[in-house]
Amino acid sequence: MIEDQQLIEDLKQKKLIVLDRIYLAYKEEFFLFARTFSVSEDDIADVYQETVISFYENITKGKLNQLTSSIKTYLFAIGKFKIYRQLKNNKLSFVDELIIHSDEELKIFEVEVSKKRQKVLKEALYNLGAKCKEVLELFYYEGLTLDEIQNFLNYSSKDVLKSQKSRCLKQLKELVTKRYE
Amino acid sequence: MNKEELIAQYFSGQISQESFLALKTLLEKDRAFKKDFYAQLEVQQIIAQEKNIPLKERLDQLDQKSAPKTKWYLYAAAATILIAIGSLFYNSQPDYQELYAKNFEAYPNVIAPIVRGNEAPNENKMSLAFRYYDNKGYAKAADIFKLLYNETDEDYAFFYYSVSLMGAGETTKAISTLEQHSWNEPQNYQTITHWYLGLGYLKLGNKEKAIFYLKKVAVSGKPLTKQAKEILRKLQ
Repeated sequence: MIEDQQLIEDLKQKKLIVLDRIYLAYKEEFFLFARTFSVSEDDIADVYQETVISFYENITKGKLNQLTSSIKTYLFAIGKFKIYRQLKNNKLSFVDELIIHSDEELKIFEVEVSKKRQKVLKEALYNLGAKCKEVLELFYYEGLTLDEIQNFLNYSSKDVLKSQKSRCLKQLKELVTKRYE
Repeated sequence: MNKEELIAQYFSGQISQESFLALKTLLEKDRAFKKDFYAQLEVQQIIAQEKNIPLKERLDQLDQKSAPKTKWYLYAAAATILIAIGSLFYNSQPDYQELYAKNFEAYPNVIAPIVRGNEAPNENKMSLAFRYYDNKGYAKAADIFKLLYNETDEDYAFFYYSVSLMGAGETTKAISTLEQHSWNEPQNYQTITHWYLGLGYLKLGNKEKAIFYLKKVAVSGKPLTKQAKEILRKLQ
């Protein structure tokens, strides 16, 4: 645990070599664990990478500061959530339903997005104006609060920023709809 | 707390257990809210996917570096094996030594050329062993393959150890070594083991045992079948 906490501190400083170490250290055990569910080897490999990346992001974005369990326990908790998500996903027979998976302990939501829709969304994001992209990235990816973004990007008020953010989401939505027509 | 604040808390990563549960309840009850929140989660995931590409590539590379060596060479081995050692002339009194000499050929080195440059931990020892092997320094090769096998428990090391013994003329030792061994992956080594055992007994003049093993090879359907049948024809 003491060593684990040190590793967390290293990861906060984005020492990727530490992430490599963690990735390799639990890989085999994770595969053994995941094989007990009926998930294909390829899916396990993807899930494990996603798991380690989520773990890393939670640390660098300040969601995880102090460990209450070992790294392994935490990592496997994320992995388990992603495996369950994968299993449910494999069973889906209809596409139109909005699926939001959640885990109360980890406090995360994840959605199902079809490969086709992922592609359309990526293109839409690419075609979005630079200013919009910046706001969305800071809010949704970097996890900054509206106050922080307001300061960072020098908005005159929080309300101006809020309406800018809504406009950006709307634009993105329009770009997506356009692609579907 | 209003919906907007809940969402803001969630995306900042600073959400309480209570608020998280409130969000979850809202999702179940409020269809319009669910649609709106879904769209935002979707945006988050797509941005994350793009941002994580370099990290994913890093992990992919890590996977490649730590991947176990592929074992396809074992299958390739069966295919590339020595063919046509020259036709044997009919001889009413088979000369075992001659049959052995005509048919024994050290198994081709199909390991080192492939693994070379992969930085396997025992690479030095392995390439040294194969260097001796390729240059017919079988006694030396046998010693090193044996060490390598003790360290790695790899089938190939044991196999080349046995063939090196045979190449070095230690036929009896080679035979007992092969007969007592159990392979990690028997399907890859069974036929070739029978082949060398057959040849070994041929050299020792033990016709009965030689036939016993060569018959197994003859019915295996593997590339050595034809050669085994040829020898059997001479023996019977």
